[in-house]
Amino acid sequence: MPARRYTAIDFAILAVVAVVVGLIFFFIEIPYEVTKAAAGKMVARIVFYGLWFIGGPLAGSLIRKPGAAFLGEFLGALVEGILPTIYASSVLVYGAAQGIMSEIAYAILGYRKWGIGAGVLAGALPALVVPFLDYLLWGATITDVMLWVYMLGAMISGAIYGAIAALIGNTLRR
Amino acid sequence: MPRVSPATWFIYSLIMTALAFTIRSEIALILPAIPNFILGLILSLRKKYYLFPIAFLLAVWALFLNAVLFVNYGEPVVVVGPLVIRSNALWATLIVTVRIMTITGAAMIFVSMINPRELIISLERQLGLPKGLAFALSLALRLIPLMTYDYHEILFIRRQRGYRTKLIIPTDVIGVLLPLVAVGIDRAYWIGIAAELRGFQLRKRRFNPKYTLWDLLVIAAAIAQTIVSLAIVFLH
Repeated sequence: MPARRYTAIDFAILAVVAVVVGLIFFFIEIPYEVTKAAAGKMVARIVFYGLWFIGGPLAGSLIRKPGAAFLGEFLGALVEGILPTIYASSVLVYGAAQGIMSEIAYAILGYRKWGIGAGVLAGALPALVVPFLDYLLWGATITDVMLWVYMLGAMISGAIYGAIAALIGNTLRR
Repeated sequence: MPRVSPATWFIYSLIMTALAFTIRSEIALILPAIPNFILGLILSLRKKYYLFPIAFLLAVWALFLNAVLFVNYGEPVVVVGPLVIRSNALWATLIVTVRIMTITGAAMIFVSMINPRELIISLERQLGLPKGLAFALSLALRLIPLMTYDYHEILFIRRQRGYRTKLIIPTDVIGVLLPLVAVGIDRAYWIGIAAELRGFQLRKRRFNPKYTLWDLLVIAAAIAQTIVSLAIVFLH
């Protein structure tokens, strides 16, 4: 069974992940909105959306302890929320939900696999909760079919960026 | 301005967001949306957060485009050449805008009224945030300027080597993220070791909630808005 107790080093690594993903979350907000306004939501989803799922696989593959994927995503969202962003506490709701899904991905693998495959799963699974949260907020401007199509776009993007995050995490652990 | 704890503004912002997510009647949401948005806009412009109104307008424009693409049915309202904008597209944009106004309004109030460092102390003292998470968040705030500096150095080196500095394709993201996280992790190891040597595990949790009258008034305002919105939902 992997070690469960978090040390100050783990929390310090979480801080680094939180800053990196928090800044990514913060800085892609405007390009995402511009792309969405100019080229449509689907293009914006595939190009950018997976970056919002990167905290889970990055923290998971770096720390390799239960809870790391959730904390990586959630703390990243908290950092983004503290920086001036128009969605402030709604990003916490999304961050918590996406973090739980990333954590589920590692839990399914028994907290024993941390490779690129696990990263793909941890990056893709958060896309499953996005349509439900999106429906609550944007439901009126979108059809149910398109919600699922967008989910697919987010899942593809999440899988790509999840693989990148796991690749970075595994490279740095060596 | 009377002193309200940052944790209270955090709770206020969360309550408003919860309202935006859960209240299905748009009429019930107009009540918290308009005052929160106007107050938030005034406070954020005083703090020179000009990005807020720009991002809000972009979000509304994107919503409108989405509505015209996917839910454009009903009576024609505006005809611009071959483009016919119908009543449902406008109505859908309007009702989602009300939701965004509620969230954005609370967000603008929240970021205008708090100092990030005070917020973390307040979350630990008032809401009992675990010491490890408080440590990670405090450290994250201190790391932001350092990592921003690292990021610009990486971009400078990429430019000198003839690589792209705009992150367009996934390999660009790897090329910037890998050195950035590598430097950060190296720093984190030593900070973590130093914290352990200074007795991090022995540090006690600082949970000591104290709320002033102003804190209670802000919470009461959030609860009052919730009750009125729910009342409108049930009356409808």
